[in-house]
Amino acid sequence: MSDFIAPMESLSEVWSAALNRVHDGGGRTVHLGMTVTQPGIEIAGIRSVLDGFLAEGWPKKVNTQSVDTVASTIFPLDLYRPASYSWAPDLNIGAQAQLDSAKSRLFDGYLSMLPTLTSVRANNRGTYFSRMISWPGNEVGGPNQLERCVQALRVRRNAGTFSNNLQDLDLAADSQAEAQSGGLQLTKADESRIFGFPCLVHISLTIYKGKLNLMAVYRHQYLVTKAYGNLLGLSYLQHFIAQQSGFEVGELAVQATFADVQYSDFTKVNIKRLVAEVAEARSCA
Amino acid sequence: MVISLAFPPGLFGAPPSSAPAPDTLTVAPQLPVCANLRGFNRAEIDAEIARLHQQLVTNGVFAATELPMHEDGSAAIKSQIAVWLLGAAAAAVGKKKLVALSKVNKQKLFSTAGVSGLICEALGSARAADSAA
Repeated sequence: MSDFIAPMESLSEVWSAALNRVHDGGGRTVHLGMTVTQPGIEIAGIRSVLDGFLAEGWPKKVNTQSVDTVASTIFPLDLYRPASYSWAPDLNIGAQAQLDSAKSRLFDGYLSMLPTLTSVRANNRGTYFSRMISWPGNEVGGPNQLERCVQALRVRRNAGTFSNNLQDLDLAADSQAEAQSGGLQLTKADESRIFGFPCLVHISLTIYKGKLNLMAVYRHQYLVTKAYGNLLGLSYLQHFIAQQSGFEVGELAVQATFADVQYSDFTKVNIKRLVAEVAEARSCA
Repeated sequence: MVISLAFPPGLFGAPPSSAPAPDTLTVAPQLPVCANLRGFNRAEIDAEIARLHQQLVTNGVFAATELPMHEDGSAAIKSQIAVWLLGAAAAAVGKKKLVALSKVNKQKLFSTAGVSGLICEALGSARAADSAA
């Protein structure tokens, strides 16, 4: 049945509450909603416990990656070095050039990595970030939906429509990236795979009272191997879009149509141990 | 409860309401270009990859920062930077990619010497294939 995690400040608290809730409910649930009120804030001790658990040497089929690695599939933080200010309508030309240059280096740098990244079987259909900047994500030269999204938001910001503006930028707009909606698309309209990539199918942006709010919809949310890194990567993405378009960062929400604590990968005993270790890290923080 | 930022403070800039932008124009750093590594020996490849990495750090191209030295004696790097270096080396020799990431020892993605070792192996294989053809 549907489940809802009450909004919390840090992504670590939200993730650990979701892990707890789904574990207590039998290991799986549908329509799990989570909200982080301050995206980008985390409790390092909780991430450390999870990274330690993921590095324990599980069978290869489980395909564990560090939290950082998972986050980088949504936003490659190490490739972004922006100026120390945000975009604004009255930004002088030089300052705007610096911001745009940081954005271009991020895009160009990532695209130069793409042929190497897609040599990994799990990435042969692209990564989430490559789907955003070169749809459909497995080749260089596709439409850059993220760039178009930033430009559309700048127009909105420039027009001063940042208060009580509920207009939504749909990142999975229509069926193809050529659509003029300014959206980003993460799944194909004719996607036939039931499991596996892409689990993240839709990102929606809502400007409200000058803040950029982000909601992501997952068709599968693997709460142990992916969810923490996903929340982190989405936080980075939200900060990036906000900085590049001149809005303040709002809340981050995730709706998982199906959420799983992965007993079949790790066993119930080990998940119970993880839940206990996370709870301890949370109480120590 | 002790909470912290998941990224370096200020990385994404000050909030728009308190964001004084500089009014002077400085030259934005460009992505460095790798030399054509064909015919290079291991030491030369080591040096070129170290040079590229140093440019990334000193010119502030990415968020790449100076990390403590890797135990192999070369610069420690993050795996994302390693993949970028591999891509730059591939472009320099006219290939889309030099290595299949799924087949490499992941530990080699955490130092410049590890990366240059992968490039060296890949170019050696390519040379062998060229000779056979």
